[in-house]
Parts: sequence; C-alpha cells; structure tokens
Amino acid sequence: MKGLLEKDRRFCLGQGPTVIVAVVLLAYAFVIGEPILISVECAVIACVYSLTLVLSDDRNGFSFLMTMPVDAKTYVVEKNVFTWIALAVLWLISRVLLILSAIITADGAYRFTEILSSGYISFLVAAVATSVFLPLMLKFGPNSLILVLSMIVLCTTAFLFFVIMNGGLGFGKVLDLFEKLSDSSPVVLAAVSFPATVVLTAIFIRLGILVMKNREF
Amino acid sequence: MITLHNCQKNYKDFSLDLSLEIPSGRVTGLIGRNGAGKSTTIKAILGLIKPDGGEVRVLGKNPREFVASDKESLGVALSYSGLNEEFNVLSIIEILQKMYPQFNKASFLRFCELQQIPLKKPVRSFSTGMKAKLKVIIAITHNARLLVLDEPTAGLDVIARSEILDLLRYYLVEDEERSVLISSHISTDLEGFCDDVYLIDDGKLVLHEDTDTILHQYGVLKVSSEQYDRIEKEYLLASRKEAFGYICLTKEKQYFLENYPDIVVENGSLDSVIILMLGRE
Repeated sequence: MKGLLEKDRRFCLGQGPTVIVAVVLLAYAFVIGEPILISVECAVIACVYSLTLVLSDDRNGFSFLMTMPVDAKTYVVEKNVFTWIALAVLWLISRVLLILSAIITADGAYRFTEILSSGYISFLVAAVATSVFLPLMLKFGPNSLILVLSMIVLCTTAFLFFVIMNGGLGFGKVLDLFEKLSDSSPVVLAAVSFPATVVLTAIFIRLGILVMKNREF
Repeated sequence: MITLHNCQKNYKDFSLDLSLEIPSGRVTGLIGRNGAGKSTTIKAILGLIKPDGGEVRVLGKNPREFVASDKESLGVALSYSGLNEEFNVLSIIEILQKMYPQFNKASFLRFCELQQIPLKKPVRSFSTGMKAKLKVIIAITHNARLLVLDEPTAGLDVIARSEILDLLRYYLVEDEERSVLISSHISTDLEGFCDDVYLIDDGKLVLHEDTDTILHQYGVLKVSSEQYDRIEKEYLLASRKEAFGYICLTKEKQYFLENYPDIVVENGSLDSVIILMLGRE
C-alpha cells in the first residue's frame, strides 16, 4: 500500500496543468469568499484525481503493476484511501486559507463555525462517488460507454436531488424533510450521514475488489 | 519454481494448451514465433489471466491467489507494460523502496550508472534500449527468487541486447538458487544464456530440450534428393525440401558424421531448430 500511495502521490504532483487548473478554481472561489463552493471544488478535485490515477494505471498497463506486490484488495483500498487523504489535505489547506482570508478581511465574526463545518457533506459524497466509480472503471475500462452513462445517470440524479431539495417537482414533503435535516444540529447531521457513507463505501469497495480479482490483464 | 500442467486458455482465435516445469536454479527460455503463445504463457504464470483448465503453480501457489507479499519474490519485466513514463528514475527508486522491503538501492544506482541511465530525466525521453534496461534493473534489484521476462530484448540492437543479458548474469551470479524464465523470438539471445528451452507454436509445445544438447548433439543435414532417399529417416526430427535437395534436422549429429561422410552436417543451433521445426513447407 505504501508503494502505491507513493506512486500516486508522485503522479499527482507531477500533473502540472491539472494542478494549475485546481489552483485557479480554488483562487476564484476564494475571491467569491464562499466556503461551500470551495468545499465542493476540493471534493471534486480529490475525486477526479483518484479516478485519473486509475486511467493512468490503465494506460500504462495494469499488467506490470499487478506483478508488483499489489493485490486486488490493496489496489482498490489504496485508491479509496488516496481519495480520503486528498480530501483531508485539501480540506485542511482550504480551511486555513479561509480563516486567514476571514481574518484579513475582518469578515464579521470571522465565520469560523461556518468555515469549519462546511464541506462535510460534499466530502462524504466525494468519498462515496470514488468508491462507486472505481469498480465501474475497473470493470468496463476508463473510456467505456457504460461508465459515461453511469456518470450521466449519477449527475442527473444529483441534479434532480437538488431540484427536489429546492422545492421543485412538487415534492413538498420531501423538501420539508430536508429543511428539517438542514435545520438540525451538525451532530445530528453527522450521525445520519457518516454511517451511511461508511456502509455505502464499504459495499462498493468490496464490489471493486471482486471486480479486480476476476479481471484479466 | 514454476509448474504448468495442461494449462489451457482459449481465446476466439487462439488456444493455449501447455505443460512445462522450471526448477530452481535454472534459466529457461521460451521461444516461438510472434503469436505462438509466449506472452499468454507468461501471463498465466504471473496470474494475470485465469486459465480455462489445467493447473499453474508458481513458488508453490496458484498465482491467481498471490497476495502482495508473495509477489515480492517475483521480478518481472514486460515489453508491453511498465511504470508511468512520466516518472524519472529518482521517483521510481522512491516507489520501489516503499514497494519492496528488500529493494537494494545501492545496486539499482550502480546498474543505472553502469548502463548510463539518467536519474533525473523522465523515462519517456529515454531510448528504447534504456527503457528496456531500466525494466530489467527494476526486476533484478529487490532480491527476487524468480525472474520472469517477456521479450526483454525486443526491438533492441545487438549491443543493448548483450548489455541486458549481462545484467541478468549479474543477477544469477548473486544466488544460484534463482530461476529465470525468459521469452524471446530472438533465438541467439537465449542460446548462450539458457539452460533449456521450450519451443512453442500455436499454443502447443513443439520441443523441450537442454540448450547444450541442441548445440552439441543436434545437427543440420544438407543432402541431395538421392542422399535423402538413402539416409535413415528415424533419426530425423524435421525435413524441408529445398532447391538443392533437402535440409534436415537431427538429434544424432554424430551418427551421421560417422556413417555418412559424404553429406554436409552442420552444427545445430536454436535458429536451425526453429526454422526446421516451425517452418512451413
């Protein structure tokens, strides 16, 4: 696992253009000064980077990688661990910068609570999204139509989810539920969303391992 | 070290059905034309494909059931796959150090220096020969018990091929119990390096023989049609009609030298074995 993490870390740091794009996006969000937008960006960046690593492994040939001390379980778990590490690092950096920005601009009461609590849900969604897309990429290949369709279905579902959350499509009662949820304390929100994330991630990690074990290279 | 017992793998237009055994301390060559099944055999040995039948045992286990620690004993170089070429050698060293507990950084650097491999340039900027050498260096510097090399000299000039074989000799000298399986369609590479060779064609074993036996006991007879009619065919492994008569392969070179002084008998070589045993009429 250590070797794989080192390989992926070096790959990510070596991706000059994508690092620049990420920095520009984050800088834009800082200019707007919206912690939630920054958190969503960080989550997307971590998720995309992890899936790009699978694409890179596929392009350079899984064959050699799988002759190294890497088995199916190690590979799938490592990709998820890498996402979690990336999320943690990005969260930490973005929080420090947001707090500094709030202090420099003397923005009200510095919004520390909002800064620290924002991003929780988007980071959990990124962790689940990585674990969902990984088995799909491993099974059908990174350029397959099925993968593209799955991403479209997921994005459409997410779009509808936000439409419904905002009271669209006549789902008044569902909206009430979300309003109640969002009005609830961060502790309650965490108690509901964290176990759900753990269960979903665990299921898809197991699925990924199964796909990888049966895959031929 | 490696046992394949009726290992079968079926594809749409190709079927492998092969048995072979590689004991410890042996250097075994896998030869055959392009598409003969060498890479499929190596993939089965490395657990990269799932055989449809038969049994594969590597280091006492089914390679499909290898866990990460089992693979530490394997050194592998594949012509068609490797680490990301955006990495430079220094990055690769860091990765290998964390990947293999027995990675020998000093040896790695020494081999890179000997082969004049730059440490800071990305691998993508290397010549074909340098890339091939780097793959072999990666395979031999973590104290692997078994080395599996698929076409490590493909596309290289004679000097680069010779340097790769020198690297492999360094590896073998360090521990006599180490084994090597090397596939190639360049028979001269294997002639002076392998203890024995498996010649495969169309997924089937055509010949398994010690290299010394091929070089010392095999012979190529060049005979006219009249001479061909009177020589003993039971000692011939293969024959082919040529413009001047026949060209024949025998394992009894000495017999023909002693009993047929009027016919031309040349020493056997892997090339002659391949040409005569696989060549089409």
